[in-house]
Amino acid sequence: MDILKIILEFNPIDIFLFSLFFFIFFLILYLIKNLNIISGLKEKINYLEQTIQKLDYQSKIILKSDIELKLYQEEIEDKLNKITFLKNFIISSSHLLDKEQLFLQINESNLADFGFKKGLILNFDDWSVKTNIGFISEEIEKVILFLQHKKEIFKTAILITKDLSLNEEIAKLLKTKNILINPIRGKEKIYAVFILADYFLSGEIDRTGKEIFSIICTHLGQCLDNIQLYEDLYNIKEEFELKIKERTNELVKSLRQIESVSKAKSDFVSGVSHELRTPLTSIKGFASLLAEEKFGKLPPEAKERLKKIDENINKLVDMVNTLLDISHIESGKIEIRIVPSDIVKLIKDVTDFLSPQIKSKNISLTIETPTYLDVYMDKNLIERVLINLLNNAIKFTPKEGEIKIFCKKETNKAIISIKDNGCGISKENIDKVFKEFFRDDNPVNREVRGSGLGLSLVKRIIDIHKEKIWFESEQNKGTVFYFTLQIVK
Amino acid sequence: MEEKFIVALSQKDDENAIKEVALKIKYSFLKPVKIFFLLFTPHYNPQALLKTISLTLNPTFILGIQSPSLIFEGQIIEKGIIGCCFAKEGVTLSKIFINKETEATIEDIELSLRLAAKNLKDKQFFFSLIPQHFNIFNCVQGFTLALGKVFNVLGVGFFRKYGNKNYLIVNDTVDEGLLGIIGGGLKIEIFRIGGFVPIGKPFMINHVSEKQGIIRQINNLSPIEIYKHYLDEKIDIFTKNKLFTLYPLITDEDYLINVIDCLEDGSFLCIGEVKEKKYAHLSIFHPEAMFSSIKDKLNSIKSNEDGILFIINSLMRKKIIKEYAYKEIETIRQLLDKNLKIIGIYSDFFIFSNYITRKIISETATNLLVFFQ
Repeated sequence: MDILKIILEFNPIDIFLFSLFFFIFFLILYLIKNLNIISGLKEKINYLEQTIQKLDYQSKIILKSDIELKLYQEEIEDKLNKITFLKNFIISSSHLLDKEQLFLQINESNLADFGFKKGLILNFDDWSVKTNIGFISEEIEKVILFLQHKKEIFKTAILITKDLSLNEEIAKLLKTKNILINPIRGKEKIYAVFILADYFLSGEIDRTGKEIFSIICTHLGQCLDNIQLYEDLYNIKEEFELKIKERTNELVKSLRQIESVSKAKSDFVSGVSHELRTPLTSIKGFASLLAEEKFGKLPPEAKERLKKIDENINKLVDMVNTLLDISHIESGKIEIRIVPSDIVKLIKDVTDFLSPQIKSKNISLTIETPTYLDVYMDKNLIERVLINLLNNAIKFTPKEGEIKIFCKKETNKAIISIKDNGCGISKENIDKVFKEFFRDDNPVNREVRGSGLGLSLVKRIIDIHKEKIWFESEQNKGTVFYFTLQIVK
Repeated sequence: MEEKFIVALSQKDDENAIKEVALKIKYSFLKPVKIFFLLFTPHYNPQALLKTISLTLNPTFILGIQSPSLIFEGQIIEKGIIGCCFAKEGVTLSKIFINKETEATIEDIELSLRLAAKNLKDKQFFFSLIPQHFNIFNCVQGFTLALGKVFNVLGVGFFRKYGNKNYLIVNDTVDEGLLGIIGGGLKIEIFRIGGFVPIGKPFMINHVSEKQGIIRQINNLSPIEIYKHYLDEKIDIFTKNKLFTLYPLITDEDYLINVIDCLEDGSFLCIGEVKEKKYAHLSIFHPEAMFSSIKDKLNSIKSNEDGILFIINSLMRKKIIKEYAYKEIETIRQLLDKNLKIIGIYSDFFIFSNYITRKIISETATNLLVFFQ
């Protein structure tokens, strides 16, 4: 109650002032208290702002690093793409042997791989256009006109790409910024000039691009060298083939002439021999009748002379017969019958037939053969072969000498050999043995006359059997003649 | 058990490829083929492809899309043909195909789509292909006006020609044009795989020209200033080499806006949702973010049923993420059940509808997974 009294004693203004004092007092206290909170919040805001700034700064670093990384990555990829392009280009063009095909390898697609829209290859000699991708005729004319006056530069500069002034001048001419120009140079000459324009990839053409372009030009130069070499070789081959053809024609012509001459010769020999044989038969007949004194007694001198005439006529008849045989074989007039027949029996028959001559010279004869052996042969002709060879052996074997006859089987062939131990054949005449009328210069031949046709006939007989004949000879030791015949299976 | 979805790939040359694909399909899919879906690279002649398919399979509906690269199971296919057909009953399709030389107006697109959709009872999804000479904005507006906001919209588009034309095969027609397919009877789910993480301070897009896809001002400054701020002395090489796509803008809704070019006044020509008063960041590709996004999204589509995962990937993304483009596809294959087939194409951009707002969004540099069952 006391307090109420005291309050009531105050007038309302005092109470209001008093209340206001307390309100202000508490308000100040409250503000003092909140000021700390506000400053704390301000600090937090500052801190957050700083953090955001830091984050923003870090974002900057991240983006800058990322862009650097991406650019490097792009650059590496770009280089890799160019190298891949280079590899593919080299693979696809290395094997080409045609200039047009080679220039066709430069197309829109692989220019784009390399980063260019336009490409032009001009022939260095006459400035004709070899490849054109994207250039209009007006631009080509301008480039040609410009390059015609700069031809000397290409002859001296190894890499025109490095001659920036020329690049710049052409770029200005074509109203473009990035161009590449390089000669396509071979080992001995400049083939063409290669121009690339309108680089569409980001940035400038880098060193890698320029180097790859120069590699492409060098490669094209090498390819053109190869093509040139191939074309030269091809031309030489063509020329050579033409010459061979000409020579072959000439040879064929000559052969025909020879054949015709040979035929004429055979015909002549055959004709002459035939014509000779009739009178010779008559002469021989009359000579032998005279020698046998069928027309009356003859003085001994005349009789002796007639005997010599008879002997020589016999030799002449032999020679004429052999010549006729040879010409018949050559002209194909002779009838040949190659049929299975026993060669062993034939050898024995021939040796029996010639045994008087063998015995007269006291020659030791050895025969080694199988019991029988059927071969394909014309019996009459092979008999002539055996007689001729054995006759020769007897002729050249000295008295009490040795002759060996062998018949051996070797796979599907019979090899017949006749060996003597005579004087042999001189080395310088080995090639002439089978030639007609050849007679080696040796004491036997000097003493015993022959026609020189025997071995020639033998060779021809073996040839028409499509078999082989050969010999081995050593002077003063002897000769072995071999020939083959097909065994009957 | 009979497979519902059959896919076949051939990487052979010329007509041998389509013959191989058609025969694989014919001998794996024992019923008559009704709907045949074909993806092919520009190496092949579309007329020849159509002829072979018609002769071998004679389907009632053929859709062929040419793409610079394809996706088949766990690989990226640079040259090849992929064929696909399915045995699901009740699938309905209706198409529009506008092959005008000049671009179609919003009205043309709206009218064509309304006519195509009017007789379809079951309308669930809309797939489109936008060629290089059509304006994305017009197309998106036309689609929105005609289809409203109830459809699952997805589409692919090109900025430039890959090959002579960006060919399409639509039944007996082989041409280049605007394609739209309205369909039903298939369960569809769409997922986006990103992999880009925001970096630096957020900024506000103040002024844009929406129809042209141009950002005029960021933080009341010329947009190029945002890159200048982060790249300092590197900005020259950055702009000279046009490397904007490496660091796209990312909105608060996690959509990417890719800068295709910088105009003379520093404005950005973009692909993506260009809207005023939107906050965005610069972004950078982060492989871990990509792999974790793949895992998250694929967890929800693991299924024991047959199905097809159709990947619409971005050529720009492939260029930005380089070797991770291959790892991305491999990872998707590894994480998915084997009964789910994977096929896909690469395009310059794609469109899809936002599940929540149902707005049609255009985007590039991300990866769109469309799951069909």
